[in-house]
Amino acid sequence: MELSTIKDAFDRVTKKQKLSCSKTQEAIDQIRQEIESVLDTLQSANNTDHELDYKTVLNELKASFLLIAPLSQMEGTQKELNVALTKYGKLLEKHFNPDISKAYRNIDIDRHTLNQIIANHFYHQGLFEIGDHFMSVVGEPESAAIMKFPFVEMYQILEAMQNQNLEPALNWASTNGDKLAQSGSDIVLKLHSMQFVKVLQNGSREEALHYARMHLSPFATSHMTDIQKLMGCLLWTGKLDRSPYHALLSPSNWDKLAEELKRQFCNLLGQSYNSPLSVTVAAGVQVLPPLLKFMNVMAGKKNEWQSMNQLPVPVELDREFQFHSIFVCPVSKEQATEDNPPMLMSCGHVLCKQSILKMSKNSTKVFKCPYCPFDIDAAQCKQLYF
Amino acid sequence: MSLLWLVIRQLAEIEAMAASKKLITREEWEKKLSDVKIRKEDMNKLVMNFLVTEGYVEAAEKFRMESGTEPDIDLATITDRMAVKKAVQSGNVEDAIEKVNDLNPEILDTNPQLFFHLQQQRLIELIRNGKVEEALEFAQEELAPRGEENQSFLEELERTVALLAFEDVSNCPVGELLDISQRLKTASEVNAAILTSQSHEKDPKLPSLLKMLLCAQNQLDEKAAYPRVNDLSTATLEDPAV
Repeated sequence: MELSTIKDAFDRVTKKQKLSCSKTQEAIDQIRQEIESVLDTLQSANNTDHELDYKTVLNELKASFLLIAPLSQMEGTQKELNVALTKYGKLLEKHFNPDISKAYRNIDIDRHTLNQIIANHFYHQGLFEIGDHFMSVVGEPESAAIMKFPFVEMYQILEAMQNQNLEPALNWASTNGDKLAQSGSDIVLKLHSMQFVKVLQNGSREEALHYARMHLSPFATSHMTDIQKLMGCLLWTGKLDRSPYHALLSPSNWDKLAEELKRQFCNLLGQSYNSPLSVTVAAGVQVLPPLLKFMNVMAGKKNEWQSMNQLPVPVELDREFQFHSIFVCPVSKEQATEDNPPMLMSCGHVLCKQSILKMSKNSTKVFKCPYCPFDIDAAQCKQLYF
Repeated sequence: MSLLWLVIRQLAEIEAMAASKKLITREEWEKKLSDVKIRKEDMNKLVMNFLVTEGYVEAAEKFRMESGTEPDIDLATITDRMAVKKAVQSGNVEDAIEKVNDLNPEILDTNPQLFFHLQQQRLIELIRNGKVEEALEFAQEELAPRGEENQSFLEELERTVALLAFEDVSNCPVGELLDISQRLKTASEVNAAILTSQSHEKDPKLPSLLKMLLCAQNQLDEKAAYPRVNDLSTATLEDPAV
């Protein structure tokens, strides 16, 4: 969203408002000055025997007011302010759609599934009390306990790491060492490296050496470079902050390690790193503007939006929302499915199976590739797997 | 050098003859080789140069007496150099450093890399002898400051200290540092530095000559098939593959 445009418009309104205000103040000051002057004159007249013509004095005051012309002074700036305000209002209407319900459509979803999704989100975020309360309110406390347990363990580990205590993490890594090794993760070495650095920081070189022999040397065949650097640290025991390896003491290393652990932990659980609900909402936020634009275009055709099962406009999501490849057939414009898989033709182009069947009259005749002059025999097309 | 020039000229002539890939029979080749004249004195000088540069004092002395070939440096100075080399090869690095400084105090001062490698070898000997605490103390005092100044020194130091991470050092990824070959490598480096400081060539001429022979053969291969020398140790002519 173009927030800077809105900010610019707001700044213009502010500027005009200040100008108008100062103009008004100026006019008021002038008027007050004239009145005070007349009062002084009247006051001094009372102190003498000289009789003053009040009518004349008041007429002079009136003439002064006419000369000041406060209305015409303020009129210009007021007009400008009004114009800026009107523009700002229109800009807000344009950018902040007041009625996003146009993009809403009712879909029946299983209540139990929805509850599971919401509870999973709370537990994923470590909001255990809220999650528990939610599940008890919707009446599913039993499934909550099952869903909750691994996340409790994960957050216990993460909380300990925030206090630079790696023991729960190392225990978890030890328990799941085989699975982590299978997934190709090097988090076990990272955890041991961080622990090794901690021992060094406490100034115990013998203890650090013993730790290295016990826990680092098993990684020698695959991570020798890392181990060499860690062993080099031994020579700066107790003064690592003044060594070539001071980067190892950076606090951001703990943040990275915690994130990596969370990722691997969720991986072992078969869960995604971010909660499915937050991913869905984030994707929805990204998609809402083009959807609203589409709905405005479709405003003339009522209820059609409710019945269609596929959008006729492209919706682009960022890379973070692309989890696996899909194929869209250039002929039918439909996404490939298991029943209708992408097929590689002999010319190298790809179409969906149903399109090929249609174009070849159910494999009974040769057809032309839509992209190139090649004639295609349906029997020679091969299914693609991503 | 004159001998080298003879060989190069002869090979150039052979190369000129071969306008295209040409087959040269063994008889032709051997005849050409027999036309190349190499003086006995040149051969003797080469051998003496090798013995002297590599520090084989006794052999050089005997060779001098038998052949009458004079070495181009005082054999007495070889003894000192060989004492240094022997000290390094037997793991006596401290002794070696003392001897080098006795010879010429500037050698190590003007050659920080050599000094670092000697200190590194000393660390290796301490680790080999199982003196872990002493090794770490030495590395921390003497080698760590050097590593801070030079990234490549630091990396070598890391590899050396990494030996301590393994109970069974002979089977670890950096175990080759404990090989005799590591000592020989350091010893050669010291030897070369001493020779340089004495204004002598640090490499014997004979290996350079053999390298040129191989290089010339490689170039000639592009233009002719001929009996070539594949095994330098036997110097046997092998018939070309037709």
